Amino acid sequence: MRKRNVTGSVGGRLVVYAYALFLIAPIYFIIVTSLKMAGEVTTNPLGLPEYPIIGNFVEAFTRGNIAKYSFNSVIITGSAVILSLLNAIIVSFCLHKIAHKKIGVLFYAIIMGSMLIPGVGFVTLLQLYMKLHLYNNLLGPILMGATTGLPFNVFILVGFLRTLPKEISEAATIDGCNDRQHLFLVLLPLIKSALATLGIFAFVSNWNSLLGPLILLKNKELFTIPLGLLDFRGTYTVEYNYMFAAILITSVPLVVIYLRFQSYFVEALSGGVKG
Amino acid sequence: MQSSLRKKLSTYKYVLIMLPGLIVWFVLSIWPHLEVFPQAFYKWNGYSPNKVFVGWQNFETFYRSSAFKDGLLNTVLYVLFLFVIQTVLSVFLAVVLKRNTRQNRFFRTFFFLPLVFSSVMVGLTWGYMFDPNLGMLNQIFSALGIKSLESFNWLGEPVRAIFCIVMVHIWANIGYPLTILTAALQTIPEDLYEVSEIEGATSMQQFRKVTLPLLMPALLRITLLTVVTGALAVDYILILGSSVGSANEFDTWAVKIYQGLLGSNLGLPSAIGVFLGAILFIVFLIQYVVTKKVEDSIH
Repeated sequence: MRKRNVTGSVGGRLVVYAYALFLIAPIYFIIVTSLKMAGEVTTNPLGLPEYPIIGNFVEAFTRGNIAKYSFNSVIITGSAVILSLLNAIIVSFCLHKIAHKKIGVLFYAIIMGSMLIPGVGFVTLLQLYMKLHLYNNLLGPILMGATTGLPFNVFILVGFLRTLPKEISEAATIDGCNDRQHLFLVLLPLIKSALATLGIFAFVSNWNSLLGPLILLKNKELFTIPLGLLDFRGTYTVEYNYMFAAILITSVPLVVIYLRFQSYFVEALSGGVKG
Repeated sequence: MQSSLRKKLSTYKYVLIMLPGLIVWFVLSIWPHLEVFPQAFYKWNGYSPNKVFVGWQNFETFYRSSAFKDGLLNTVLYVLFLFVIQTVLSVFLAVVLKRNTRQNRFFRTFFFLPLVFSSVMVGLTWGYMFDPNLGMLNQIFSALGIKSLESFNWLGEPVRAIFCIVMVHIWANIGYPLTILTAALQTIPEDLYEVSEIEGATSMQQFRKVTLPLLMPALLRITLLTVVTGALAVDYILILGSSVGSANEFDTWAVKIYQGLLGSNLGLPSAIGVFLGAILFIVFLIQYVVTKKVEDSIH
């Protein structure tokens, strides 16, 4: 019996290693190809580059207009994350303060909003944004990113506020805190970790968002990094070495952020099971 | 009496404070979704003043076109492939990597990593892997001496293309189900395994009688998540398709909505949206009923 367990676990390990290989293969090719000369991409596609060319990255950075696209991405993502968290904090705080049975309906109405299907409403969304002069304007993706995550964020934050002991709020009232002090000085420090989790999640989804900016931005000057990369393919079809250099430059920051804040990602996902 | 009045007043105060944010959210994020329904009954190109009410005509046009049947088949295939392969794979990996050793933690971290990559980066990279002329997969087969796959067109045929695109989706996405399942597995008490081992259960029996039933709530959650993300997946199909905006033979309904945006009648993609929304709503209802039943049977 012991023996069967051992063979079973060896088989399981093999699948894990096989999957790891499947996962790492494209990453290997990105790195290797990004260091090759254009000719070597076709003559030596699989192996390591003969003479690694760091200059590819400089070339990709200037040709791909990455500085401009990064700037746009930072503006859009930064504003969207801050606005969406601020709105979620205010709404959650008010819902928490009211804590009235009738208002509970409002809470569920907001949560229902997360069940609407993104993508189905693209047609009317585009028309609305055009009418509000948010088309081909950085404000469009900012407001889209700031509003889409509200139900999820409120759901998590209200749940978190409920776990705090009532005495904290009572003490704050007795000490004569007004609402602003109560929220920013007393409650916010206590829900810091939940905010960090939501913030990192909002950051990654906005940073990588494709369809919103794709339908809302037309002018190349306004493109974000994903749109820029897509455009790179259109402009330099066969020059895979430069394309992968551009991909590598724009992905490394995200990998660093992921490795640094990894526990927050896991918390955000597994928190959904308990909640 | 007075205190209840004050309480009522303070309720209004908080409603007033959060109202502006809620209104902006409703107008920009919720309203467009609701507007799809009336829009589907009009024929309109988006900017001309000439907006004609046509009744059910858009639904009928879509229903009679080949896009309806092909798109539906592609959507169902996409969801089916994604659900079966991703669920089996993530349950398997989660069970094997259950224990919190250093090596297992490393693998879990590693398998989650592609989630932070943008879909464009993933799509462009795999586009290179699948490329029939320069592509890495064919180069590998050529280096291994397998001549028949040397210039194989991976995305040349709809069913095969959907399978390949789903594998890309899984490559990028498996961290989600894996994390949820790992968290659920760690709540299963260790004693259950010890007892079943003493009673002589094999590891397969342990999996079927202990692990699987206790994983059921998490699995149902993942099911809904997978079906919805699969039915709405647009990114990888668009990027791996011939070029963004042009039609492919492996397009799903969701992709057709996006491509309809570029067409001359915006009522048509709205009608597709209503169809898709209705089907997903039914899926949601089924999932809700099943979850209720499973939860009742546990408690």
